[in-house]
Amino acid sequence: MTFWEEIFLWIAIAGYAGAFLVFLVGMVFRKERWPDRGVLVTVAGFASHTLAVAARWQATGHAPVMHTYENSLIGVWFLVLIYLGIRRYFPPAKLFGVVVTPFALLILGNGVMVGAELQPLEPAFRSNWLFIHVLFAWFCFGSYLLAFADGIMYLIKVRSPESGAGRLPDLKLLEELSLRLILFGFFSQAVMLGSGAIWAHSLWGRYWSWDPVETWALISWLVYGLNLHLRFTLGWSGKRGAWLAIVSLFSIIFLFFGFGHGSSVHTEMFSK
Amino acid sequence: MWNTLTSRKFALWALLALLLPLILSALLPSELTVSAQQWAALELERPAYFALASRLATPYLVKTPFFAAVSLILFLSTCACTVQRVLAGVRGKNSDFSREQSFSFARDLSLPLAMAGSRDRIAALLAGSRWRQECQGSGEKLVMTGEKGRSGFWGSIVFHVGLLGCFLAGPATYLTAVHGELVLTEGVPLSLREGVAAGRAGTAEFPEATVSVHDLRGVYFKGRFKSDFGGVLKVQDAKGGGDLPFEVNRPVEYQGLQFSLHQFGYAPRLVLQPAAGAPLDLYLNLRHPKEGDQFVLGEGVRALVLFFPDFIREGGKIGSRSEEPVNPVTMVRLYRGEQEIGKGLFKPGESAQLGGFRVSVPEYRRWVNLVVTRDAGVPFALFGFVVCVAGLLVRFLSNERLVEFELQRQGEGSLLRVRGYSRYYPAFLEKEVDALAEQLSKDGVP
Repeated sequence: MTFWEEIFLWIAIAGYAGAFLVFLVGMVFRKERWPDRGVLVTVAGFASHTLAVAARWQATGHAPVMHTYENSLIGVWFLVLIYLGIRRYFPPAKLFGVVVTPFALLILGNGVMVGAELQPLEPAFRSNWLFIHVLFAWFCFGSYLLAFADGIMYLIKVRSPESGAGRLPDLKLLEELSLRLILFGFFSQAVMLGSGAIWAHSLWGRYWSWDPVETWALISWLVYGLNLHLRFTLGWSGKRGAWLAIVSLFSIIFLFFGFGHGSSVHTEMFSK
Repeated sequence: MWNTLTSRKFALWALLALLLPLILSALLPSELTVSAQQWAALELERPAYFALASRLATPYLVKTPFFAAVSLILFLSTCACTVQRVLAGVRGKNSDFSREQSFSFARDLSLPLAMAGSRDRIAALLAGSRWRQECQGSGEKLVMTGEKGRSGFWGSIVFHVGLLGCFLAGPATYLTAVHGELVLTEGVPLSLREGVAAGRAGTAEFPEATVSVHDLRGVYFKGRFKSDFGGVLKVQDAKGGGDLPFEVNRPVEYQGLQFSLHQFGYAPRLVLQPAAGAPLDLYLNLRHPKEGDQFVLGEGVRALVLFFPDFIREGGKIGSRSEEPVNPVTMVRLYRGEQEIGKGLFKPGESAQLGGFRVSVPEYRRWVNLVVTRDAGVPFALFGFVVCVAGLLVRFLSNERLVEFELQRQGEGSLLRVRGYSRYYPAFLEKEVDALAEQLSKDGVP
């Protein structure tokens, strides 16, 4: 990690941690204006985060898409970007920050702990398909995570509409956002799977090999496909829809944190 | 049968029947998730679990008749549902929002305009926002409808057609794919058919040709990080020959076969001259740079060979400073049974007497492992992917909804009920119905 990257990254981490506290206090103690302040702190953290990404990019000479740390760095950036985008068009969704910021901290923390050594882009990663693959992977993870946050808020609001949860977004909006996020995530994951398959075909000579990462990516896509069909076909909505959004995220957690990935070819792209 | 296949609930059950075994299988260890040693240890220490894993872990489950049968049922169900929906769509059958699962929201308002004036105003409003409109009834009661977002239906159809393409890619690959590995030492020609270690299809699928690799390069950034790996594949066949440059991520094609660079390493040349008899002269393609590679040399003798590209000795320890061949040294240890009979370190060109053999390492070269494949499933997968993504994008961007304007005479004016139906987006619907009602009530004010 370069000096400036480290400085900006820690400011971003502090910003996200502060934003989480502000959101939490705002919700628990029913402080009317605190969620807006939470958004401001998140924006400040995001600005610093953007500078950390830029510093990393400048130092390595390539987009931060390699290995755990860089994926965490760029992934959280996309997550917060999607959150801020949604808040821009659906202002009541600002309270999603109470779920988004701790996840951002968790993912960044995991990346920093694994190691942030500067490395040039490996030959296996020199493919335009990689950038499409990674970009849409993060769009999909970000969308699913926000749908998860949406589901939690829906359940809290249904359970105690008159308490502090009363300030959460309207149930109809939560319902709608959940579906929009899952649809966008599902689309992004389809792009991720397809571009990954094309990349794999030129790198390893086959487009699919039931490698553990591939298997979990397919499983999570099918889980969200089932999720959408239950909503569209059987009309699952409301509490059941919220539970679907929450439970479906576990397949993504398995995929991201690599349960059973072992000696997956994804961990050794091109072996010397 | 047709009714079952076109039932969407049946399709859901079929999807679940595919998904659940896949999830359970992904939790079991396989040769792809554990090392060879761990896999062997599992067989010895937990034979029952091993028996389960070796049959039902994902790479093995997907080859079972059960998985093929469930996939076929899901394919047929998707096919039947798609055909049924296309037929309904082509016939122009619209969605019945009042009968199907949907959200609805209504607003009532009084308009000062008479029935005819209100009808014209609503028609103009709908036309201005490009709603597909219909009008029913006359006189005392009039119902006008506007519909939008029908493209989502076709997006969903296109997505499922793409999905069928992806489904077909599986069997096409299974039935036609040719897969093999070709290990080539730099400058050493090999018959393609004899040299390739082929999978299920056997070597008959490979053409008669002689292949060799030249100008291999392996560049490391700061001596540690992989940077540039590639070379030239020279092919000679009955028609002549050609040079095909390749590198990681840039495979080459020859007669429909794809050659992808998969592994790269050093190959020191080892010459063992016994006291009597012919010498052994081999290029050893080393695959385990850290642990070393074992080679059985015959007569009960085996060798452990390690290659240090940039040799360094510090105290009693030896190692390599970097991955670049700045100071290449080969370590050879000879064993007879379990007993070490000699060991030595050799720079290129050096030789020594070890355990009754004259051992020399005249030079070193590089070797590559090229994955050789041909797969008729690729076009299906590519078609499926592109069509799936296009369909999903249309589906995501669309929002199928209907607004119904029920007009009734009320004195000189008219009473209007605006009711909206949306399949999926209740908040958006509420806003839209409010906006339409607002617009009409504004227009009603003289």
